[in-house]
Amino acid sequence: MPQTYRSFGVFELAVLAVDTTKEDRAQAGDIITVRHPRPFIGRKEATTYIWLKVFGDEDQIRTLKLADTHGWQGKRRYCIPLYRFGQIVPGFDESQARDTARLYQPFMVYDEDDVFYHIVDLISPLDIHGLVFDKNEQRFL
Amino acid sequence: MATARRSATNENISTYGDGTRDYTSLDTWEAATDIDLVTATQSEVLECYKDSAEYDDNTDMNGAIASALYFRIIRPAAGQAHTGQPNTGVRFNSTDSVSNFAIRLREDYISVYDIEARCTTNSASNDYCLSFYSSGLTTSNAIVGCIVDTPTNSGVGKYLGGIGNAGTDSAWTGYVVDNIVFNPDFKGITIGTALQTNFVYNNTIYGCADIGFQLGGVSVVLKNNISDNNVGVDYNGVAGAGSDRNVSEDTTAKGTNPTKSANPTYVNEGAFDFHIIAANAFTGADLSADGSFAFNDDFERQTIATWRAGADAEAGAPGGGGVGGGSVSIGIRRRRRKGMHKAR
Repeated sequence: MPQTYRSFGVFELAVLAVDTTKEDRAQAGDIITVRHPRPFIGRKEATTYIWLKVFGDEDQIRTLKLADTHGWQGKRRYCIPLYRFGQIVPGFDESQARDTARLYQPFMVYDEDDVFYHIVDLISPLDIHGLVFDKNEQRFL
Repeated sequence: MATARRSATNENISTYGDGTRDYTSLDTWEAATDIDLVTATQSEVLECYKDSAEYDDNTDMNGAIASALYFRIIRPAAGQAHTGQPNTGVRFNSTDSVSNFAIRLREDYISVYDIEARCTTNSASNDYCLSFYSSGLTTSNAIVGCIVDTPTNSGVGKYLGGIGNAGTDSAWTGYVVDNIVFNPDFKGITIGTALQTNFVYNNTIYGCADIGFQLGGVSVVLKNNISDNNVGVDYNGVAGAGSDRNVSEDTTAKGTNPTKSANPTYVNEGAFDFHIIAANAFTGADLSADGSFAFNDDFERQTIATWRAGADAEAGAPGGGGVGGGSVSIGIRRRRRKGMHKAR
């Protein structure tokens, strides 16, 4: 933990929507990145990842993208099982999320007036507790 | 002649920057390209654009199966690289205090070229801005042409160095060439192990709050480096056989033909332009036919006509043009005092 201060805020997560080919690499639901919110997502990021915002302690949230140090649970230790989104967000469609042929961002909308994937929030930032699953501990935070 | 920026075979190029690019996150590109490159007979390259003055981003590169032919590269797109000073090119400034690095290389052959890297963290651990994995073995990584600008960890008693490994054994081999590291709050470059051979050529290290070069073993080959104005000694440890033409402000320069007690003068160190003034340049070894890493371009991607010590000594513009080698304004020289380390 930081030595001199703690900070809280809103952060952006990218959750992988599809499995990769090997078990030791990233799997659907894995939290791939954590960052301060940016107004854009990239062209290749729009269909492969689910982007959402969360709030809380910065160091705890930053930890969510760390590798699985045990090495037997895949590339990432923390994930948000896609079914969990369906329990939290009415209308979430897992099959659409896994379909990389379509742009499906259940928490944000693509601003069609913008040439970029300039995103607009649909819901308030989520609490990571009860949402994020720790594969090492086999439980939700 | 060979450039120090090695290309890979069958490069699949993706772009990084704002929403007009393929990726806005290093991690998402890293995950998407974490594949068996050898079986795919494909290399993955991320070409970065300076759509933003800097990016608060970082990544831990790990997992892809690579070879000398097929590997992953991060580099600026054409025309997007720095021009010899910070804030002129693609720049990463990570504030991630948990990861505590900008880019970590823990996969064979990963290469990072011509980016600017900085970290501004508040972490409980020591690390390096461009970091090697502290346990495990990778081979043939390359860090070439980068600016590492004032990595700072405000965690009490903790530090961030320039390029290196926070572990006790740098089980790593590779090439650190043509880089400038200035004002880290820790060591400039930490590298070396008794297990592997590393090649550290034509770097300029300046203003470290600790040691300039920390050599972790007997197998670090140092050539044409400058280490200057550091709080700790400029070079610490044992250099490998073949080390040559290194320069120190103090008396610790390693290898044959060292220049000790030197007083390097730069174009404008106050503005972080560490181009060595031609009149005061230090003779370097010709590495254009080096048996381990032959190259003939410098920190600014200029073809080297006259070999000198340091990352940036060739006259002319970046990429083949002209930062003047002599007509310069000399910045105020801000000397650190040896032995005045950060409070622990």
